[in-house]
Amino acid sequence: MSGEKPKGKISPSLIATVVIVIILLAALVYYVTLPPKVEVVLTTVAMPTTVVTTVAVTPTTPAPEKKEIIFWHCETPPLRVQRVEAVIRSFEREYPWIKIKQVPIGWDAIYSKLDEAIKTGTQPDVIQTIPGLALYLYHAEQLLEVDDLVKEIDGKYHYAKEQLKMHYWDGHYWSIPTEAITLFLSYRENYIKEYAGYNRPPETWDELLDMVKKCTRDIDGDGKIDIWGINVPITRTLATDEWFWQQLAVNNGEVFLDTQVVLDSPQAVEALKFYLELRKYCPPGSENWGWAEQNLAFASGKIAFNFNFGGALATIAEYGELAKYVKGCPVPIPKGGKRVALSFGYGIGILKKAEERGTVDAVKTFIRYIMDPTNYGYWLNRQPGLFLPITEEGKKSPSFWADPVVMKFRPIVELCINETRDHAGLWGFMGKETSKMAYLIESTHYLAEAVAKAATGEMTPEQAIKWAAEQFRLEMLKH
Amino acid sequence: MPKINYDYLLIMPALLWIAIFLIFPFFYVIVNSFIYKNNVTLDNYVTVFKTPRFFSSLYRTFLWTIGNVVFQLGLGLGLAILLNQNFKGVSAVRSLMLIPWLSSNVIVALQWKWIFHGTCGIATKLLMDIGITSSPISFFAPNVALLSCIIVNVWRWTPFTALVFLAGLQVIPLHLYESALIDGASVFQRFLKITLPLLKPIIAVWALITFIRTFNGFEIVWILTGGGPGEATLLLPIHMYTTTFLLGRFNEGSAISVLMTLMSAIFMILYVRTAQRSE
Amino acid sequence: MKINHLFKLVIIYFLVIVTLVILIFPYYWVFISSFKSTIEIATEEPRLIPRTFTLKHYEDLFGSVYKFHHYALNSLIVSLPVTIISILISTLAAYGLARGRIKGKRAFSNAVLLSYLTEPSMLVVPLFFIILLFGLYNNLIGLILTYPIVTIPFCIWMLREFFISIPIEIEEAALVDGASRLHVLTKIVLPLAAPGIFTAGIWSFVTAWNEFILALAFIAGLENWTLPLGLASYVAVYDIDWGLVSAACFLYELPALIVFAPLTKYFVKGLTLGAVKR
Repeated sequence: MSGEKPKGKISPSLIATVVIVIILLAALVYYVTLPPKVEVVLTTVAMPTTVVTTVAVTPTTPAPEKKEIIFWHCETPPLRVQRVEAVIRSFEREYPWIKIKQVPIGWDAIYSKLDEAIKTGTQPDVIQTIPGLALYLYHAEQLLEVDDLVKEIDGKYHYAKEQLKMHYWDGHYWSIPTEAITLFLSYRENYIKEYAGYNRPPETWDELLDMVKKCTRDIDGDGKIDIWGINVPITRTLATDEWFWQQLAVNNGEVFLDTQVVLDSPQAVEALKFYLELRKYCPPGSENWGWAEQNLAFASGKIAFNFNFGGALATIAEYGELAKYVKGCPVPIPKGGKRVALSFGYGIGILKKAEERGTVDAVKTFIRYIMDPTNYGYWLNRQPGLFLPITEEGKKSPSFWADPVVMKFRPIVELCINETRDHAGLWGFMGKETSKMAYLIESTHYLAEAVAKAATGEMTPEQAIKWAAEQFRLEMLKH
Repeated sequence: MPKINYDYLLIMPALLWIAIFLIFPFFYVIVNSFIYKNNVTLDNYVTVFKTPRFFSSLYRTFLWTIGNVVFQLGLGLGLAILLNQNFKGVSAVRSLMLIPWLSSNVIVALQWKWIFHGTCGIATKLLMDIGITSSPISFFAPNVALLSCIIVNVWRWTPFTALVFLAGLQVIPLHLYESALIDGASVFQRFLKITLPLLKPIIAVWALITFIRTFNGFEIVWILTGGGPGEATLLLPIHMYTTTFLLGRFNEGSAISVLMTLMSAIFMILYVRTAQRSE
Repeated sequence: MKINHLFKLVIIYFLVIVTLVILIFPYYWVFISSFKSTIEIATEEPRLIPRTFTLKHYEDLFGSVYKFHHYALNSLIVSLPVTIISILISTLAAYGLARGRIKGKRAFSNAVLLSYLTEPSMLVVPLFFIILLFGLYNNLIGLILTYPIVTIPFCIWMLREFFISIPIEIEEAALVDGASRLHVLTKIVLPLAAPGIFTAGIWSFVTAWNEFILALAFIAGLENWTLPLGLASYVAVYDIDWGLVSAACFLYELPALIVFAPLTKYFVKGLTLGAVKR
């Protein structure tokens, strides 16, 4: 039994409580309905398996010569963050009036993070880009053109022409090319020799399929399959987009050509069917796998083949004995196909924000610093074997070749550098004109979803390709 | 002089906190679900209903929820009866029941992801050793992925459920059982006629709480499968999450959130109705 | 009769052992995996008894790359204040709802229970807006402010049941003797409700310790990560070391287990009272 209610009297504290609550709610609702605030303030949440960070920027008013640069990049693994920090520190020693703060953000979150940063005016000064990201920022009118610096570095160190192309559209360069990563096929020499009977790596789709089939077997006689041919991912991630696009490209297919979506083609369906054939020889549980699990499976000898950017080389090196047999070869092509290796031209983009904050010169100093062959190797080897030099002088950088992982897998690294020079290709840059909407592949993952739909039997390959093409078209209309 | 009722001060802090951090966000989400490109409109809801994925994930969420509730309640009840027995070490065992609940969703999901690992996992090896399968199986293949997620979630919540039911079992007066025994009732009959009816209120409440918690549950499935492969485990909360955060369509995501809350509210009302009717 | 009883005992023990195995096995597996070398985990058959033994994973965890201790400290910095805030607010509110002369108590109590059922992920975006407003982005204080919203509803609900279950005569006797409400609350009711408050405190701490989604949204940069976030980052995008992840999982649970183990008795008691009085 609670206490007696004061009869007929409304207590003043009740009134006070109600009034305060009403005022609060009214104020908050008022905030809600203000149009600019109602505009999306996206939060920055990403998949739990991705490291998500951003920075609360309170622009400092720099003392006359001191500059602070906010540098976003998408290399989140602890090793890379550490090594970037090391490069930054040695730069800061040489240029003590410049301070750089690196902010690593996961690939899966970068687009929504940028979106929100732009809306709240908290963009960084400078950001590491791949062409898709640069295009996105270009559309959002965030980038400064960098023709002068590109020409300067080209003059000093001589860029590979194919690489320059990936940073150029509408008459200007929008990011400074710094390096590239290129896809190749890694394989276990001993497996294909022992189990498939080949003394050389596969060059065609048929050969790859044959070897993959033969390498899926029981090797210790206990009746259970111990090794599998390959893994190709079907998760809704960039890994799937990339692996599938690679097969699409060597089969003369494409997603975007100039301003059109050209995904729905018989070549695309063929490529998807080939991809699904490969799926038959993938390990159990791999429906869930992205880069990480795949690299682990290859490094530990569970699969015979693995498409790879060199990022897995450091992990592979840890497996001593097993690492001996790891070799690399260019991506196999079908009959009538063309030699293409998926290659991302990494660059650095300078945002208009840097102009506002007066840090453009400081940023350019930093870029010059890392492109200098003395330092270039340290910058590239934040993930040894992955990031490849793209300037003639840079290729000779002693700090690059001195890294133990690079040394161990020298043939593979050299292969990649050659592929980068001769056969590099990237979605959106295969046609005469740059397809400026190609970044949609990375931000929407429709390609990956199509692969998954076909792989799980939800749709036939034809339907899946058609579905993805339509989704891309719809998405293009929205922009 | 009317005496000032200070009692309201007691609930003021809670009220304030809830107003700022719960009620306002609710309003925000609701209001935003009706806004598209600065116009007040029902467009978001239209888009939501036009997306086939909304309905397929809704269906899947029901499967997921009902599967969870049935197993958690059933196994939980059995476990509670077991824990109600008097044997040496029973209180230690009861304490151990809390451990799965103590772990965070992230940990539970990671542990099981590791156990269910296709090539290095222990689960598939144990199955092979026992002889159930002859080659490694995948726990995340499209047709079993949802079941695997249910297993993990049931593992996490059943012990806690058992404790809740145990509490209910312990207040049932022993003399009821004794007189039934004298009357010649079998174990089964005692269970049906005494235990179940007296436990009904607790089971009912907990069923509701479990239902709503599972319906809105996100973290475990997200970490185990990310909604995949394909759409095999794409639940409604995951659909909401990908729409809002990964595709950046906040207004559409708000609409989905509102619908989800509406559905939860409807379940609650249905529960209250049936509870009242049976009284 | 004796055989019957024995038979029953055997069955009970059997079932108990099966249950315990199912319950404990995942933890055991994680525990031993954390001591296996990476090579054994990746290349050899999964074994119940490890072949290799290494402390490398634990060493790595406390190193400068994985910084487990740093994240644990952050989690602690957040969880303790959240627990204190939750207990304070919930106790007051629960007592007010249990004994106070407030119009619409019933409705408010039901509303509180309802809010327990909301999923934090739905509210993340607007909460983020509030955080930005207060300028608390990437600030642990932002977490301290928002976590209670997850803990308070349940605590209020549970504590209210507790307070109601305390015989009101004790309070009324004190009131008649001229004691103020506050006095009644602190000197008489609280000691009696101590188990309940204890339970609420533990529950709040565990919930805050485990909270993931809010932290993911409101914290940027490695500096301010809480433990769940740090843990999630070990399951990296390009590289995965299950030995390390296992070690992290095990360490994460350890403090909760150590702190919790002696207190489980109270918790079960608190749960019992709370659940029964529905």
